[in-house]
Amino acid sequence: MNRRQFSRAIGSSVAAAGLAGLPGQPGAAARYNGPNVVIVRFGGGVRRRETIEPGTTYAPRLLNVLAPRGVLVPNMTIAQLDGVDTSHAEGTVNVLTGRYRAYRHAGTDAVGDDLEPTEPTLFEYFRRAFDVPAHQTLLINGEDRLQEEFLSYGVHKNHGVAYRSEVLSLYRYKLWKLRDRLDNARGTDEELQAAAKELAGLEAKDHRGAAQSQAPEIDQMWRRWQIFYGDDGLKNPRGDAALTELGLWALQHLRPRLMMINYQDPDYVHWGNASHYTRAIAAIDRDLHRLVAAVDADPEYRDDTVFVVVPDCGRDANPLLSVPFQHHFNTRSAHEIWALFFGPGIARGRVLDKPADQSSVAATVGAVMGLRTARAEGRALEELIL
Amino acid sequence: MTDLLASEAPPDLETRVPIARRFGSLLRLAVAVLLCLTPLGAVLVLGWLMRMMARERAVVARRLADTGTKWPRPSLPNWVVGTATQGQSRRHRWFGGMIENIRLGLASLLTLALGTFPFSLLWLFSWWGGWENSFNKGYEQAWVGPALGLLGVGIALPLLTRLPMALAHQAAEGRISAFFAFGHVRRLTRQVGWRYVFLCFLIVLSAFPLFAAKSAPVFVENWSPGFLSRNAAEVEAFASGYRLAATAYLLLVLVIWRRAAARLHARASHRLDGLGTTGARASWLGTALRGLLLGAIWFVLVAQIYVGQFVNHQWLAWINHPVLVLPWIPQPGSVL
Repeated sequence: MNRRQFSRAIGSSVAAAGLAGLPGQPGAAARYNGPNVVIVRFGGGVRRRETIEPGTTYAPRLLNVLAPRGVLVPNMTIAQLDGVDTSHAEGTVNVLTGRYRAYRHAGTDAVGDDLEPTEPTLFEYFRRAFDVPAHQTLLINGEDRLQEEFLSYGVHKNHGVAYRSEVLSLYRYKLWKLRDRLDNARGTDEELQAAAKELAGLEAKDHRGAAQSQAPEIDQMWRRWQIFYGDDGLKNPRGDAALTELGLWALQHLRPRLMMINYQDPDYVHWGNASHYTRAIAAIDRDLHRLVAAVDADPEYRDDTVFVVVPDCGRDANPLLSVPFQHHFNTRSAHEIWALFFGPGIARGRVLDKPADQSSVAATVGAVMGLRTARAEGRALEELIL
Repeated sequence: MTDLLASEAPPDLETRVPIARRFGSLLRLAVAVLLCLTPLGAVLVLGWLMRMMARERAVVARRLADTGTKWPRPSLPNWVVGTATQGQSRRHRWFGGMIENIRLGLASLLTLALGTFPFSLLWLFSWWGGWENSFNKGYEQAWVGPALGLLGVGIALPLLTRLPMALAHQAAEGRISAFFAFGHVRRLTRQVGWRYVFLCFLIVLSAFPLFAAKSAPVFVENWSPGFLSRNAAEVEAFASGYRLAATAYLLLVLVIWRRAAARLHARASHRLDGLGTTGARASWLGTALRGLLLGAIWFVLVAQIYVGQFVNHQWLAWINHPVLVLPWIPQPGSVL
């Protein structure tokens, strides 16, 4: 994509958005012919030092293999604004909406950390502008990050649930599994009672009923997952590796056009084992490479998929702490992140040597996909586009 | 009572000029603070505190036994030289203080370690193993970490409850085994019931500023904007000063609570001596209430430790609680 095509894409997306019909009536929009996009959240919270700085990185593939395929933005930051938290769900909303503080507490629990976007997400922009089914826009979450189940759509009046993404997570799989067991009355009465109780407990965590049902294609994938990995949840990959596995399954069975994978395990460093942080970074590095390899090996995705890798937030670099990796205290280092863009239409082997902002990610993805992210505050990083 | 008490009861106190005593005490406290900056020095301070407790206890015991005489307050023990009593060798006169500090410091470290490791090691392994398992998503044995931690709490509460009196008893008797005289320590504690509860409350209360000092560096950019822009030498200087201030506070707290524990021990022993070997039979209700209250008080210290670890984790902080065990606070930012 060159600049002219880029401008044309923006123009056509605006026109498409105009034809997209009223809220709640997806399907009247245009067919999407742009590149697929995979957003990888290099979370939860990583510093530049352990990721993109040569000599100290624990992500050698990211730095030495993937970065030369695109544009590294080493000086990206989260803006220092009142009320901006450097944390995981918050950073993810920043990426998805292109705005800061574009969230509120989901449900009635005002002090909980279940956030829902108050502005349209990339998924909503995408599905409102183009005729893309929900199961081809995917948010892949870790099972112990239930608060991120609510990031699949916002509550903006012109967008919302009608343009939501589907969510893949072990939480969703458990919901499907339990409902399937109850629907088909598989098991003894006691087992069914236990399943009903467990299901009720899981459903109670879904404050806004976002997980009542999923697309039939997702149900089919869960059926395959169950046949392959069994029912007990002890045979499938765990932790961030489970997200990678879900991503690979999605590529194979759901053929997503826009997918976001929310890695999280570096955040275990909160509890004192610095090696959890560095090992988790290395694991994401390996898994990211697996995802890219899977895309490269697929004729439909190869040369038609843009990867965007971006941390949700940075982490502290506090010399007064034995484990200087917190991120909740608004330190400069917690605001310092980076991004990597690579794929068709993106320049190769470049480093964007000027400051950029996390809120630019949504606008840039929009530009790549030909979307007009009207409510995003950040500017699209046009310098990346060929 | 052993020879220790005789040697630790200074005969020349009444002849000293008060201002010189005060200056001497300040000097000894300053030395103690400096010694607390290294683990080995802190062992010496442990011994010095035990000698201080023995002196305090001896003087209070004499006051209680002979109310007609006005006994002076004991001075703080010497760091190097011994007490000048007849028949002592030259080595003892010149280095007796240091030798006693080392001997009693090691003995105290041993008993405090044995008295706290049953729970603190459980906490250490619980935390390490629990999060290691959680990181590796070991669902099958997820219960092990929390169970070990809770077991540690269950063991900690009774052991912490007896610790101040057990330590005072060890200081008074001058032998390691006194720390483990469970029945006798329990009887002593009963004699000073609510006073002992108050002492424990003060210890836990006094630990709060140390908890705050451990947690505050996490928020350094909030209370010292631009701190992280300082160079390494400036950060080091700040960390050293910060630690020195925290250590000075720690020592002050230790001197106060150890003295108070010694006084309570003297009072309890005096009562017990007057009542025979079993002591007065306290009401079961009062004993139960005090037990519950003591458990609640010490649970606050446990909570301080856990919350402090969540905020600013240090492996050593699981096994060393400076206000109770080794009076040594690591340099902020050290790998410990």
